[in-house]
Amino acid sequence: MSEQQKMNGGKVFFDTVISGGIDTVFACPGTSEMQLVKEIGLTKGLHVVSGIHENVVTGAADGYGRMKDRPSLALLHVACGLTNGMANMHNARRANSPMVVFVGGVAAYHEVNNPEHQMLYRPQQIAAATTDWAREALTGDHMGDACAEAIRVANSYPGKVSLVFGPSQAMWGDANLLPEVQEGTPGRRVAQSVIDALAEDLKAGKKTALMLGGRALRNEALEIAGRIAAATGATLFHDSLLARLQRGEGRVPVQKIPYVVEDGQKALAEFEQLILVGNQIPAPAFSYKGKPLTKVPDSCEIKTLATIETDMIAALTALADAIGVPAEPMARQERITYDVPSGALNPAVVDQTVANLLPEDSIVIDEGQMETFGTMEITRGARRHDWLSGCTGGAIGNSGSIAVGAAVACPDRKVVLLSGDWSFMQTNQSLWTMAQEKADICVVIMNNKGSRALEMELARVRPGDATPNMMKMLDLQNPDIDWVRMSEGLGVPATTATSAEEFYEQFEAAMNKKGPHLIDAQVESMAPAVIKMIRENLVL
Amino acid sequence: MSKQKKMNGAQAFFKTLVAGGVDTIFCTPGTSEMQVVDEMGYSDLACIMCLDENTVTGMADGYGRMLRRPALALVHVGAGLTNSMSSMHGARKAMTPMVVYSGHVAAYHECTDVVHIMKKRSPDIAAATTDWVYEAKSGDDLAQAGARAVEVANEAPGKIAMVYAPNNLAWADASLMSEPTKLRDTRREVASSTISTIAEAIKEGQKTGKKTAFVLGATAGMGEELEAAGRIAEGAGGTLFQEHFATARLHKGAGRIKVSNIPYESGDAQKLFSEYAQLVLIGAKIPVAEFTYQGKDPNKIAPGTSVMTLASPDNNMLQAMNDLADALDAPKSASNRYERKTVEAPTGKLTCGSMEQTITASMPADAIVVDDGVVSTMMFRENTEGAEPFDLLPAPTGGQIGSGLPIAAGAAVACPDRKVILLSGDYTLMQCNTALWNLAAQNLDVLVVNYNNGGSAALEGELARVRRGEAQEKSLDMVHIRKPYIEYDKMAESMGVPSSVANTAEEFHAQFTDAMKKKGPRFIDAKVESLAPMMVALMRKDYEATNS
Repeated sequence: MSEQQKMNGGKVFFDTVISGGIDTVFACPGTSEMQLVKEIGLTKGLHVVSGIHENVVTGAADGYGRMKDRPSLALLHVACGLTNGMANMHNARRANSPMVVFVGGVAAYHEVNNPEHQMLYRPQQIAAATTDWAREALTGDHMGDACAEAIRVANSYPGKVSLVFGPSQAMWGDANLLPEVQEGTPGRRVAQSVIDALAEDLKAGKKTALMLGGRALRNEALEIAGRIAAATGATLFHDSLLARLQRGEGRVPVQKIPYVVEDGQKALAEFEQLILVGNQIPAPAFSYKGKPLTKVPDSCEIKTLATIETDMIAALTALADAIGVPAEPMARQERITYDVPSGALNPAVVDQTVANLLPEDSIVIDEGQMETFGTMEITRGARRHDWLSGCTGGAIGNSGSIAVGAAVACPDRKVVLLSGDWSFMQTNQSLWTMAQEKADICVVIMNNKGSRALEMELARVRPGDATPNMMKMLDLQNPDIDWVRMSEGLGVPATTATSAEEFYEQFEAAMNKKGPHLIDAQVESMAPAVIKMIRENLVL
Repeated sequence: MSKQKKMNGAQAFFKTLVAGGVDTIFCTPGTSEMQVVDEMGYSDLACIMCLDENTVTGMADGYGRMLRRPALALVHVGAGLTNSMSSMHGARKAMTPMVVYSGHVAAYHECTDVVHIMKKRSPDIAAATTDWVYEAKSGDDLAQAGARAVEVANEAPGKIAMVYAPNNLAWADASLMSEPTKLRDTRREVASSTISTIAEAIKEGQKTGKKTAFVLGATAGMGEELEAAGRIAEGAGGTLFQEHFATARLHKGAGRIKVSNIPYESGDAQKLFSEYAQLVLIGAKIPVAEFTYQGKDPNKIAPGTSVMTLASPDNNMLQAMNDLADALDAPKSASNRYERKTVEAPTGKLTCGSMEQTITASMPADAIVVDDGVVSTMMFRENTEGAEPFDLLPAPTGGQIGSGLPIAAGAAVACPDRKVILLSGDYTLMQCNTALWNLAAQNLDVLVVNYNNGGSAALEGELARVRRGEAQEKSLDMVHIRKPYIEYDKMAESMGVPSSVANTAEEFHAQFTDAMKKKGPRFIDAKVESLAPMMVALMRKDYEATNS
C-alpha cells in the first residue's frame, strides 16, 4: 500500500470490502456515512442498491445472502437507522444469512455532548440483540481491521450477521494498513461415536423422523438424506419457517411440520425418534394457554446429528456411510400440474396456478401467512425451484425486501413473492427498490384485506365473533388499500385479479416477461373455514 | 379495590390504564397481544391500528406533545419493539409522556428459543429509548405495572414508561385491579440562591454592556413558560433562543413572544453567540451540532461564554422563570411579540419561499404545523413569523427521519378541532408512509405538504462536505429518489388520501387555500425547486475553507 496516497478509514474500509469479496451494497445512508458514500462512488465493481427504509436494506441483504452464501454490505445510519433495520436483521440471523452491517455515527468525542441521535445505549450494545458479532472501530486503521474480521465472521459456516459501528472520526481518520481478510470458520465435524450411535438406532428399525434445517435443505444434502431414508425408512421433515429449501420436480421431497402446534404434534405422533439435522427442536412461534411448548410429542425421543453450524454434507455423508445406503434416494418428486382453474379466486387457485406456471429454477418467497398454509403441498410438483420463507425470525413484512436481495443475487432467475397484504405494508418501500433495480420479481399480494392470521389467533383466545372494535385492529379496510396505485406510484406496474381466470392470465404474463410486476390477488380468505374449525375444537 | 370477579392480566392492566386516564391506544398488535385486543374490543376507547411500529410510537408522540398526557403505544414482540424505537427515541428527546406495552411469548417458552427471541430480551433493548422499563411478573403485577407506568409517564415534563408483558401474564388470573393512579406534581423547585445568582449576573452584565442569551429547552417554548421567558428577556434586555430540532412544541405566529432560532451549523451559531457574554439554559442542554465534521468544532457556543443553568426540564421551570423575571423587575407581560403580516399570493416558480408566503397568508389561527421538511423548511420559522398563531412541532427531535407523518396524525387525534399541516421532505415521508392510511382510516384533519425535490437535498449537501469537485453519479443515486421518481399523489391515493400535484406557486396557493377550507385528510405533492444546488455550493465553500 506504500505507493498509494494517504488513506482514511472510509477508504480502507471499502478497499477491505472489495478485497474480502463483497461486491454488493444495500444502503440507506445519512450525514455521518457520507465519507463512505463518497468512497462507494469512487470504488469500481460495486453494485449499489438503495433502500428508503432500513428494513429494506437488511431484508435485501438477507435475501442476497441466502442465495449467494456470501455476504453483502448493509449500510445504515446512526442508532435510529440501526433499530429501524433490526427486525429484518433478526430475521436474517435466524435464517443464518451471511451479512456485514455497517452503522455510522457522530464522532466519539461528540458523545459527551449528548447530540440528538444519541440513545441511552451505544449502537454496538443495541446491535448485540440481532447480530452474531459486533465491534466498534475507533480509528482509521481500525476500520479496515474491523471490516476484515466482520467479513471473516459473516463467512463462517453457515453464515453469520456481523456489524461494524464506525463513528465519524474513524471514517476520516488516517489509515495505513490494508488488512488481509481471512477465511471464515468452516462447518464443524461430528464425532464418529455420535455417527455410529445414530446409525445403530436407524438400522435397528426405530420409526424415525429426520428434522432437516439450514444447509441440510439444499439439494446436495437432500440427496444424501434421501438415500438414508431409502435405507432406513426414515421420514424427512422441515420446519414451517426455513431459510432456503430446494424442491420441486426431480428433487428429494421433504414434508413440512405444520405451523399450528397441535397439528405439529399430530404429524410427529407416530415417530419413536426425531433426529435433528441442522434444525432446532420444532416449536410453535407463540405460546398459548395450556398448549405444549414443542411440536414433538413426549413419546418421541430427540437426538442430534448436526447443529446449524455443523458441516451438513460431511455429517450426512458420514451417517450414510455408517449405515450403508443405496445410490438413489427414497423418492424423487414428480411433476404435478392442475387443470387451468376457473371461477372464484381463492388461495388454492393461486397455488395451482403457481404449480403450473412456475419456471424452472425460479425462487419462491413465502410470506402469505394464513393464505399460503397449503401452498407447499399444492406446489410440491412444480418445476424445480428454491423456496425461501419470509419472517424466519417471526418479524413480518420482510419478504418484499428478501425478494429484492434474491433478485439482485440471481438476476437470471424469476422471483415469485407470495405476500399477505397486511404484512407487505410494513416494508412497502421495497417496491421502489424493485423498480430501481428493474428486478425480475412477480409480487402476488394475497389480498384478504387485513390480518386474517390475527383474526384466527383472536379466535384462539375467545369464544364468539369479534366485536367491531376488535376487527378495527386487524382489518385493512376503510379504506381499502389500492394496491395497483401504490405499486405504480412506487414504479412497479400492477394489475388486479378478482377471478381464477384473471389471476392465471396475469401470472402467466408475468412469468413470460422480465422485470417487476405486482398482482393484487383479491382472494377469498381461508379464515372463515379455519376459524370455524378452531371454534369447534376450542378449549379456553 | 374490593374483590372483583375473576379477570385476566390483560383485562386488569387495561382497566388500570383507563382508570389512570389513558383513553387512546395506538397499536400494531400480533398474536401475543390477542388478550389485550380482546379486552380493548369491549371498550369504547379510541383504538387505532397502525401498519408499522414507528407509526405507533410516532402517533403517541404527536398525541402526547399536544395533550401532555400519555397515550398507550402497543407493540408486538422484540421485532415490533425495535421497529418502534426510532420514533420512541424522538419522543423521549421531546420529553413526551407515553406508556408502551410490549408483548412477547410466555416467559416459560423462552427456553425453546422460539423464532421471535433475539439475543437480548426486550426490556434490555428498550432501555436504549425509554426512561423506565419494567417486566411484569404475574397477572396482578401486570396491573400494578400499568399503574406505575401511568404515574412515571406523567412525571414532568413527560417520560417514556414501558411495561414488558410475556403472554402468560395476559391470560394469568388477576384478582386485583390497582387503584386509579393519583398523579403527583413531581417538579422540583429551583433553589432561590440559583435564581438570585443568575439575576445578579444578568444585572451585572447590563451594567457593563455584556449581553445575555437564553436558550429554551424542549418544553419551554410554549404557553405560560413562553410568556415567562418573554418577561425574562425583556427584563434582562437579552435574547431568547431555541434549538432547531430539540424542541417538542413551540408557540409561533402573531401575538407570540419572539424567539430566535439557533442556526443548524455550529460555525454560524458560534458567530451568533459570540455577541453574548453569558448564556442561561432554561430546560435546555448546551447547544451542539447534530453531526461531526473533520476539523470542525461541534460546539455552538463560543469558548469563553459563561453558561448558567436556571432550570432542568424536570424542575418547576415556570416558577423559576417567573421568579427570575421578578428579580429582574420585568413587566407582568412582555411586549416583544410577532405581529400579523398580510402577504400577497405568490406567483411564478414553486420555491420554499413562495410556499412559506402561501402558508403565512392562508393558514388559519391555531393550526398545528409539524415540521419534517429538513433542508426545505430550514427558513420556515423566520419566514412565517407573521402568520396567524400556530403550534410548531419539529419532528426529528431525536435526529430520526420520517416521524413527521405519524406525529401529525397523532396531533390530529389529540386535537380534532384544529387543522394539522405536515411539512415533509419526500425522502423522509417514505419512512412511515403507512401513516397515510391512518389519516384516511381515522378521517384526520391533516394536510400533508410533500416538499418533493427528488430525494435528500440535505444529504446532497453533506456529500459536498466530504469531497472536492463533483460527486460521482453512483454516490448521488444513493441520496436521490429519481430512478424512478415516486408518484406521491398515487401513493397517497392508494391509501385513501385525496391528492393533487402543485408545479407552480399559483397551483400550490390554490390547493393549499382550498385545503384550509375543508376538513379531512389531504395531500399536496409540491414539486418545489430544490435547495440542493445552493446547499452544495455552500458546503463546497465550507470544505475548501476547512481543508485548504
